[in-house]
Amino acid sequence: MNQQSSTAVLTPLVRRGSPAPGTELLRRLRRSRASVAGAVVILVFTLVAVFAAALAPYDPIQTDTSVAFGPPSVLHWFGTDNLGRDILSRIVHGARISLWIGIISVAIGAAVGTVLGLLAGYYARVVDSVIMRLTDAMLAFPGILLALIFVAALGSNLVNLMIAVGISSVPRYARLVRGSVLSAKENVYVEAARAIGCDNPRIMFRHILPNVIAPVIVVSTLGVAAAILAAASLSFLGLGIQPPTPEWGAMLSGGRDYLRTAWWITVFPGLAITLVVLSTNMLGDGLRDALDPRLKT
Amino acid sequence: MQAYILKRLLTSIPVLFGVSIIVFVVMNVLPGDPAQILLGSQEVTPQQLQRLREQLHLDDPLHVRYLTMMGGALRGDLGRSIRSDRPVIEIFMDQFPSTLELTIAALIASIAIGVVAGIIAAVRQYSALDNLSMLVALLGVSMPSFWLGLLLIFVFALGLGWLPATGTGGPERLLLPALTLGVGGAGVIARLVRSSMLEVLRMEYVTTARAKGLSEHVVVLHHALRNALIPVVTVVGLEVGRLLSGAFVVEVVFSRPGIGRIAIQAINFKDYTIVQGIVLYAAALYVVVNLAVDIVYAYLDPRIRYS
Repeated sequence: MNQQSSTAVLTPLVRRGSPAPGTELLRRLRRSRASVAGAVVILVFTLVAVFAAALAPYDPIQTDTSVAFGPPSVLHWFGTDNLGRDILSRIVHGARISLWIGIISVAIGAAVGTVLGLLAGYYARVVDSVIMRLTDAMLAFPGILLALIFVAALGSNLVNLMIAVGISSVPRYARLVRGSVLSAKENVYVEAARAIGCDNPRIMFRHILPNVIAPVIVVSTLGVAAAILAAASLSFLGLGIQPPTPEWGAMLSGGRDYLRTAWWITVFPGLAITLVVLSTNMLGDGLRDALDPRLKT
Repeated sequence: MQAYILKRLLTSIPVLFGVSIIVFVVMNVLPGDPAQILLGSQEVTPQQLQRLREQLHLDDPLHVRYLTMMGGALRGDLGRSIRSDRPVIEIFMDQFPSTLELTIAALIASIAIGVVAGIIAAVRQYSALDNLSMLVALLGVSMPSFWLGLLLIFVFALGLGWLPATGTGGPERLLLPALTLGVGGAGVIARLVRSSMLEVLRMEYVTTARAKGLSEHVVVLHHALRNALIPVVTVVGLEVGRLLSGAFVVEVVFSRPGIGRIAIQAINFKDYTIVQGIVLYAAALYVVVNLAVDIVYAYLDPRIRYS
């Protein structure tokens, strides 16, 4: 059987006139006001991150001690820090770093976890046992502890922080994908692919993967929030991004010594983290409900 | 029940074994020579570097180093601090009571706030109170604990002067750290109690209780809540783990002694034996807590142990 005919056999039938799955999802998502609000805030932060250089009123790293500890004012809306740097400009540039960390960490975790989950679910037996015991062991590290030892061993910088946060989320994706693969591999289209001579990697990545990826997308959305929080926590502890890079967790950490006299150094970066994480959680909840209304509480 | 406990005990062994392998691999096999990292930018002769490598057993084969670590761990010996030369177990036992105190206080705060908020939200479903409770619960989950901690210090310690900002000793020094650590868990528990209560409140036995003329608070608190709380037991297990790792951050914010603060200091001082030991103990503790929670859950819900 040639390539064209195999594609014809394996292409899922789409009923004429029925809306695309994405349209239905968006319609359900639009009904939840919290999800829409979350999506709008994330969109605003994404635009701020993309156009940070144009939007920030000042250089985020340039120090000017003559205006140090300046309270919020017309010139500096969110005030200035101990070195006279404009807090608003640092938050605007920090948006780029925090969102970047969230997205790349999740991409690392989701990619590695999805491949492991595919292998475990598809090959089963020994491969499954080894991978699942590994994920069990990784899940035994509570919270940021796994990321913490990775950063401790690798050293603290942006790349290591993303790797550490990403790897610690691998088991979540691996287990999710494995569960979906176990049922997906029993489908007729997999049998059909095998019958026409597709090899295992092709069956896994071309035929099974597209059918098990939807829940991964939902978990990834929520994962971005968790990754931003984990990275900010590590930076707050001095184990993530180092000064003078404007990362929100590190900015907050830098401000805590001046809490009594200059609250704005601590309050505004924390507000930014909370807003992004809250919005991502609201959108993630909405996505989950839209994809599986039975879970709606 | 005994068969179930035995089964769960046996499944915990490979997990603990896996945990020890991960800690060992991350701390010993990843790029970077621990001896060189420990020395930092200090100028040393190759002989001094070699002596340190020998002292840390870095030249031994990997499997020998792993077996040495495991042999020691099983005897409660995880080596000595590279900097202070004190046994890691001694440092751990010194600091752990403070972390345990904080974790238990935070757990109590999580359950108390979460259960009350969840019940109110479920009983007044779709009301402004329900929306507010769920928004606050979501906020609790989304707010970084270190920020909340600093805000509480700013308001209650520096602003109003009601509570001390740092240190240990006495419930007044525990209140702010426990609230900081517990709020996230309260959010999770509130959402769970709400959905669990909504499900239980629609059950026939609740309708029967109402039909018998019992007052609404008796129906909610005596009939519905008991069953609605069963799923919360599982979350409590997960919460203990989250609280344990959260304590690492909260102890730093409130300058409290504890294993978290010691671990962070050890990372900054590159004292890897302490980091390795504390992480290993914390993960093992988490496995044991989850085992205990599973057993309690099986006791509360007999369907679990027969499945």
